Amino acid sequence: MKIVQYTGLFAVLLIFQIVVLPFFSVFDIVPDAVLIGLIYLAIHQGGVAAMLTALAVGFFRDAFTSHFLGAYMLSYVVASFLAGVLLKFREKLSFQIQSMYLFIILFSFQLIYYSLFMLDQKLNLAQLIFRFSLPGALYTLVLVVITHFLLPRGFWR
Amino acid sequence: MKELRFTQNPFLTVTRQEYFTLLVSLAISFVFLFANHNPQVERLRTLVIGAWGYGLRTITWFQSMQDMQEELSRLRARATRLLLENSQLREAALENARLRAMLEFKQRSAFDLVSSRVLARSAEHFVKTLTLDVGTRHGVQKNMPVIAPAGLVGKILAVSGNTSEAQLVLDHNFRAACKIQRSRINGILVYEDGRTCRLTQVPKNADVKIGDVVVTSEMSGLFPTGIIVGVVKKIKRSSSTLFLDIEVEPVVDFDTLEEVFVIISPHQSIAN
Repeated sequence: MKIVQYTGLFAVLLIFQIVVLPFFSVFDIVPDAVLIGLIYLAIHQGGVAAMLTALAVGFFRDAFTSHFLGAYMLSYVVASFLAGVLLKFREKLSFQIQSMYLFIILFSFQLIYYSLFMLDQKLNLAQLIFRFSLPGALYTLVLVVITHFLLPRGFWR
Repeated sequence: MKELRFTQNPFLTVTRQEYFTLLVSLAISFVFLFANHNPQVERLRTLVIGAWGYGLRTITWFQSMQDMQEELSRLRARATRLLLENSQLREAALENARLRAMLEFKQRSAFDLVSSRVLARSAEHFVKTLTLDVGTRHGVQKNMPVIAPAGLVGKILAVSGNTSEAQLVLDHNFRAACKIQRSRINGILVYEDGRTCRLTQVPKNADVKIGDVVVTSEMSGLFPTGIIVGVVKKIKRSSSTLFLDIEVEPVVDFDTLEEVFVIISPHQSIAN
């Protein structure tokens, strides 16, 4: 039953990500709702479920958005693994460490994805970090905060 | 379970199953990454894109409907603005035509005229007046005749520095000495009702026909002679009275009056 629920959730997130969120882009930076879904899944169902879902969702997103296949798959898998590991014992962590781990996950995802996507773009590391990865991670963090307040029991529970 | 602190390494808690899943997932990802130009992978992607495109068409249909609604609202607002602008332009064109006609009338008129805009009109049943935007500062005085290019409008009833009140021919208290232009028969014009006036005090045997033009008479101390007032619409001859009952329809359309003239040299006359 939960598989059906999560499949529905990620289908909605994918559509939301591809159709709706581009309208909210700031300087071409779009927050990643699918990633938030994967972190949520890692928190509640563990890293394994999150990584397998990341593989499937990443494949579809790669195919839909016509970027080269495997970029989102790889980025989402790594991010889901990190989420599963870092947030496994979140109840034992302080709010600051939870937030820091969350930011590390978001930033890692952005860094891996943009590194792969921009292999042939001749961008230097500073541009990669400050122009794309950091703003992307911060914008997604804002979306996490919004999600936290929208969910009846918050993002962590 | 021991409480985790920031200094502790969370990667020590990763299970074999998690590592295994990570490795397999990474392997699959890399396979796809390095096989991007592989015909099978291309075909797989084409299939997925095709399916997605089908779904997306439905979503974008809703989106385009919303866009169309917004476009419709924008176009409606624009159409309303243009209609308003068009209406203002028409109004300006009509005003222009009226003012041109008035200017022409003023130039060929034998009187000294002061042109005036109608600021307001009284809506009371028995008192029919116009408020004009000219007053004593423009040379206007009480009882001066007020005319329009078509004919007599009324007379000045009260006057202030910059405005004045004109009593219309259609006012119940208005009286003017008039005559039939063709036969020179004199009478007194009084307002009756609606858009109808009566020429009274005309003897029963007088030469009056329907369609005769009624103009102001030299008997009037206020109005110059020869200003057209109206046209005879109906004549009744009754054996019980000594006078004719003559119905006169004023030539001026009082409902659409926007500009009028005040004659400030009333002791001239129009050659008939």
